Amino acid sequence: MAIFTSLPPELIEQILLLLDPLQVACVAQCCQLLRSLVYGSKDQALWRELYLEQPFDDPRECVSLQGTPRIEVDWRGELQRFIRARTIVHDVSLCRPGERLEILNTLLDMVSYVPPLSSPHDNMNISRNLLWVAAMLHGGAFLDDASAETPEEKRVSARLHTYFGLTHNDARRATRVRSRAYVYDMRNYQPDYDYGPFDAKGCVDWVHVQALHHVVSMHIVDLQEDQQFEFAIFPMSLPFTQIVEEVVVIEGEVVDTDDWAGVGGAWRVSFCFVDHRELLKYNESATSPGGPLDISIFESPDFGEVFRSLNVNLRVVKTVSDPKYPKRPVIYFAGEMPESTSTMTGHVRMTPDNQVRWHFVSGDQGSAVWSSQGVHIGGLKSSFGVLGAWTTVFHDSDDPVGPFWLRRESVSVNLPMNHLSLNTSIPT
Amino acid sequence: MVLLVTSDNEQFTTEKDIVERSVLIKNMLEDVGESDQPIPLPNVSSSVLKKVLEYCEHHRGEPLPTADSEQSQDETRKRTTDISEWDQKFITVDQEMLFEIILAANYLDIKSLLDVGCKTVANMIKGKTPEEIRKLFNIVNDFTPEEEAQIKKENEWAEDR
Repeated sequence: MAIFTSLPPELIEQILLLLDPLQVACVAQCCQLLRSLVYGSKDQALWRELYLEQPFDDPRECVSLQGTPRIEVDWRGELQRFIRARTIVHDVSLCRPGERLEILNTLLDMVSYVPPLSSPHDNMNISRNLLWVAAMLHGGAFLDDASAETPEEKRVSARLHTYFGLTHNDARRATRVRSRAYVYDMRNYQPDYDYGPFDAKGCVDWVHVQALHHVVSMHIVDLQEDQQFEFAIFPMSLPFTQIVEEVVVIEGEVVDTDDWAGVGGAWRVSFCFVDHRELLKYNESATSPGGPLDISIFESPDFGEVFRSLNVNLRVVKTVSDPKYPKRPVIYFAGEMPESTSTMTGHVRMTPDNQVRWHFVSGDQGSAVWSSQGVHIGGLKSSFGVLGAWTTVFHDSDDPVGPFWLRRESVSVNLPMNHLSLNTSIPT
Repeated sequence: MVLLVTSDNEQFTTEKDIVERSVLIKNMLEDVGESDQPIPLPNVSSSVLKKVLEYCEHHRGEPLPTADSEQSQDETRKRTTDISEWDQKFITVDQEMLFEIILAANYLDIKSLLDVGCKTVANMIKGKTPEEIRKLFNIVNDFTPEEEAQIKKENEWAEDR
């Protein structure tokens, strides 16, 4: 008599491939035969097929943020991690003690390994992982839930938050006040940190970067207090972190260029700043040394923050080898701002934690006044751009400070919105 | 006309363009050429062949999948367990017949019918716990207590309640 378990293994597998991985796990728990079909096989054929049935990127086409291809894929382990992350993001109450960090790292891995775009205008190869994570996290409640966070959780969460974009919590006035209070607190800009969002080792301080991201983003996206939205798509959100691997062709020949960071070209730089007297008043408001500052100035209806953008054309001046990163020489660049007599010079290099760091000074007619330190967000040459903080080159104790955002000009922003309706629901 | 003989020695007469939905029979006919020889189907019983022919007759004239279209079908196959209304009605049979149809579709190489069968089984499994799946398919739990512990660990990633 024909029964389910008497079907040949390849037909049972064909049926399993039509199921959600969670359901496959249920089938595996029925009996010896089904268990060995799902878990027993040495080769990962079933798990590979099951993985490729999901709305994820094909990992064989994915590269790291730095463009390194993946060596080997553990189809079973990776799919199980992704599905676990989906379960937890969907229902945080299922999170086991200490598991949140693992879930955050899984999501970070998902958005860090994606297929490269062939140009910033490439609409054909948009990463499915990025859209999936964006749709999964939609309002960002998982990122906003910061109850009992360890420092490491906070760091990974802030990094993912920066890549992700704006959460529901970010639309709240109190959250915006908190981010401003952070980025305008001069104590967060120290010589040890090179006056930027870095730690003493030169690694990226993601909590700082996320605060900078929030303050800048709120000038670009118009969100009202407690506004509900599915996913705020704008040039500083998840889909724009995708790595770009441009092939440079000059007169029909592929040219090998030293400009691995894509520095040369037209850029637009935006600065945020507040009234200098207000800034000083805020920074002098601590009642005890090292104590909390009085954030009420950011809550006042009279508080104003200026957001100003300038165009700048950059060109590579020279590259100097970096012994720690043989393939990533330090790129020195210079540039002019076409609407003014201001100029900009700086360099791009790798940080110890494998991030792309930008430093530049700018000022009128070649005299450098402003000093900026930032980090390029996402994959190499992604259109997300560089986020950081500016001060003056003098680094006086009463220096002005503020966030900046530098991104490539003329990057098309026509992402097919229907991709965001990807099915991320859990089957019932 | 084509003559088919089932495992229980029943004879079915049918038309070439109906039965050619089976890649197996199509290839046989091409190999044999014009002939009145009956085609033996030792793996298919008359009750199952009757159902299979009913399916083929209904879908007569529809384009057969080619090697090329298989690729694109694979793309659209993702996650869809939708079944057309007629097929759904057709496949509403008892479990034994369902699995017999799947086996026959596999043997006769009728891809679209095999898909309908597999999707139906997948839909039956959806949303069920291991215990419910056992009950559904009459599966005996043959795990030892030690294995039960291993299984729990093995499936920790999939715990969702």
